[in-house]
Amino acid sequence: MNRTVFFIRVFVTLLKLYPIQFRSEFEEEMQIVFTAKVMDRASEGLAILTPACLSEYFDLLHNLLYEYLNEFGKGEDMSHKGRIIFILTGCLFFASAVLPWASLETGSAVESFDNPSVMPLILTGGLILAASLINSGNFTKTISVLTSMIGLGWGVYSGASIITYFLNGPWYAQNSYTVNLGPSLILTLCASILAFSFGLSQLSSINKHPNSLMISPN
Amino acid sequence: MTLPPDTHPNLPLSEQTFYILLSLLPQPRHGYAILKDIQQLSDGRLLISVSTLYTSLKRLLEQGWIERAELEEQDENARPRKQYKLTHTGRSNLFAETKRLHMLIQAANQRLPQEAI
Repeated sequence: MNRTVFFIRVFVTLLKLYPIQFRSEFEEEMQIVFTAKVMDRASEGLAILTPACLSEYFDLLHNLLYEYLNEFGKGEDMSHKGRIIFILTGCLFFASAVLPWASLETGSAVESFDNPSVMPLILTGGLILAASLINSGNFTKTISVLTSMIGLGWGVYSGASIITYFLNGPWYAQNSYTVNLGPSLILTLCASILAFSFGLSQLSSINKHPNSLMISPN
Repeated sequence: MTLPPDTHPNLPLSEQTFYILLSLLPQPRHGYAILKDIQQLSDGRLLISVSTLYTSLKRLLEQGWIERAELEEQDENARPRKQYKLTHTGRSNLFAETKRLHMLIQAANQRLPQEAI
């Protein structure tokens, strides 16, 4: 096979990796331009042509990644109101984690209190707060899906825990280690409902307004 | 010298964006002509790859700085070669960037010794 034909075929194959929308608009043009470029360079010899083509392939892969990131990032910025609700949700998760500790005396009582959901609650709160700080439409869609999933997970867990808690009777509620567990679980349930419903509402608003937030070429 | 306030947010332009817009200033061009013209304008210093060119063209089309020309050229195999032309926005951004660069050069000229220029 002729070397120039080989280089062109590799380029054409790599072009197939682009998103469909990009390909339908530019694939043919890019192929024509690359072919013309290779034909121009072919007269200069293989020593010039090979690095030039390799550089083209490398750039293509780099731009391919950029293009996919751009496609992925199509979405709207989180609204100001949305950001406040996100922050509130994150704080509620933090409060749910901290509340059982609040009424306990410091020292041995705190050390002996063992609530396995404290760390996951803190992590969830931290994650949602961190997500609310990302001021870009690039990740709004992903954040909304994740938040609603997290909300659903915590909602099921805290709902089941609340039932267990109250079914265990007053003695359980009066235990000094667990006296605030009930309110904490209710707080977790509230945060979960907020996260789930708000995540879904953000997602539906993105789908209703699919305006692109493009990465600037500048 | 002041720049139009509506063009400020888009500045500064990257070198490749500047050259693409500059290449399209005199007339509409197709992809390969843009590449060749940029090479010539930059004295062979700036070699833009095909993928970089089309990634930039796509963004510029989306931003409304350039548009497709209605007439399409044909290559030697009678395949259509789409041409691109500057829009009013693209033109004003190019002019604003040129003014900005000019101001930088003026400032440098005031301070730098002659042998550095």
